[in-house]
Amino acid sequence: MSGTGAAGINPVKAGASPALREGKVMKLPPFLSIDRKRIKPFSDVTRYGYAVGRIRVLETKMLNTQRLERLVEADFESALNILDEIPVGDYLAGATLALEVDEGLTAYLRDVYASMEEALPRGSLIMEFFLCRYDFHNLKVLLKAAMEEKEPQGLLEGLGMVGLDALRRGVENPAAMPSPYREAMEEAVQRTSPQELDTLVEKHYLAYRLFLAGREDSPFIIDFARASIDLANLKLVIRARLLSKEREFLDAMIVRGGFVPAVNLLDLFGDPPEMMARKLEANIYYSRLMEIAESEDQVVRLTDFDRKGEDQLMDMVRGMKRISVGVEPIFAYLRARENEVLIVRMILIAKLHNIPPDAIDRSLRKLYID
Amino acid sequence: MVEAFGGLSGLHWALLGAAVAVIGGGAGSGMGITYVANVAGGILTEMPERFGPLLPLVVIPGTQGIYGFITGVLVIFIMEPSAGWAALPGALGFQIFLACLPVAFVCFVTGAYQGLTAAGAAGMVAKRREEMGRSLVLPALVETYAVLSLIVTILMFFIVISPEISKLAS
Repeated sequence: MSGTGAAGINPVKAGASPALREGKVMKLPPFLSIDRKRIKPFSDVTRYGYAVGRIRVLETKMLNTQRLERLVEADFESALNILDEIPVGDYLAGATLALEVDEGLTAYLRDVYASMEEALPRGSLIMEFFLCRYDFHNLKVLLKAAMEEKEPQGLLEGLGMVGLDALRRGVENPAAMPSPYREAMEEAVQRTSPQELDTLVEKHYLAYRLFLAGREDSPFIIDFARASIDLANLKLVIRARLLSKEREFLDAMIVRGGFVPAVNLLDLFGDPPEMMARKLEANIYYSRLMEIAESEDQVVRLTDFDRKGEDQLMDMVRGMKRISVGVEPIFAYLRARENEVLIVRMILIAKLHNIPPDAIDRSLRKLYID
Repeated sequence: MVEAFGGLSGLHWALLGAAVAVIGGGAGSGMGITYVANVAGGILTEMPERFGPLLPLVVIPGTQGIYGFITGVLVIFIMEPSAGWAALPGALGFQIFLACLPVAFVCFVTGAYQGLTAAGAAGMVAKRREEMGRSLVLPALVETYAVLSLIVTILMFFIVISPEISKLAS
């Protein structure tokens, strides 16, 4: 077959009709054109329906307020018995040391991610959104170890998308790494202190999550990623003030893409939290900043800011409950499981160190389920 | 030879109406069942014992397909003149086509949306088995409009078109 018609024109190469060849393509009238936002609920339920069905059941087996209250009051042994009522308990059976608690919780989290990954449709970026945290953490540990010429400590094995071996090879040869790890490694060479390295990796991590949220095209997840950037930026401003850093350092390290523009954050530089709160009066972070501004101790302020920030993010995650089917309930579930692991770890480690229930209660974060 | 309407004979219009009703209802139901079945599949993976309470929710978007089918059957068996299809004028065939449109469009849209509603309601059943009754009410509200469209189509058939067809015979 020659592939050309009677007129000697190949319709595939030249375009099927003269009108098409001349670029005279009539647009669809507005009522016939498809708005992606309108079909999203339908495509979401086809893509994520199965995974949402699974998490609707799994959500019934999560740490709730009643169990949490019992956990806080119980001793270590009784706390393990209470945890037996939910899936995480299976991973902590017989644990007596902090290391065993950590190992059990890591194994549990690994299984949570694995079970969700198999339920998600191909091409979903939601797992990468969660797992890239471990890759960036491992990258930070490896880069710090290389900078200080020490053995890396605190690596998280079996979690992450890239994998520990690939990251180890990447530290030797950054060009072989995928983006954004490559860019983080290339920029890390210019850093001289471990603190700067921390901030740099955190910056790439948050920017990458915002990119992934944008690709997933969920306004809720994009807002979450933007709020995370704001909280990290505000913390950076407070910390930069405590450590007397230069304004240029702050300018280079502020992550772009949050709700508060970088220019406004640079304006806050040098201000005490009380002044920052006043400048951000019309902002969603105003109340958080006011709360830490009332605290006397600056270190306490930062720790408290972290906890309050996490609570604010959890409030956003709770808001995703109103979406019946889509990527948002899956996001909320994974975030809630991570939060659950964090809370269980805090309580169990506190129990091992005989910290009184009142002190534990004060440091706890909000739960996903009441 | 009876006159055509818009270039199509009465039989052509009647068949087009039946086809549009069956396609609209069937496609809406197919989409709706797919949506809720996706969620139900996930729930059943974790909790196979919930099959019973979930089944009505999976089935409920299927009714629109039945309404489309009923409309198609009514056209084929009730609308035929006693002198045969060839005696049906184009204008009357066009009326049959118009009478099929409520079911075709409403059942397509409600079938898909009922699937979405039922998918959300399936989450209620996953969390609490005793919510089964209440969870059925929500998608059943969407059903109301599919039923109304079928009633209007049937009324058009029997109140408006059937007497005209009877006159043809006389």
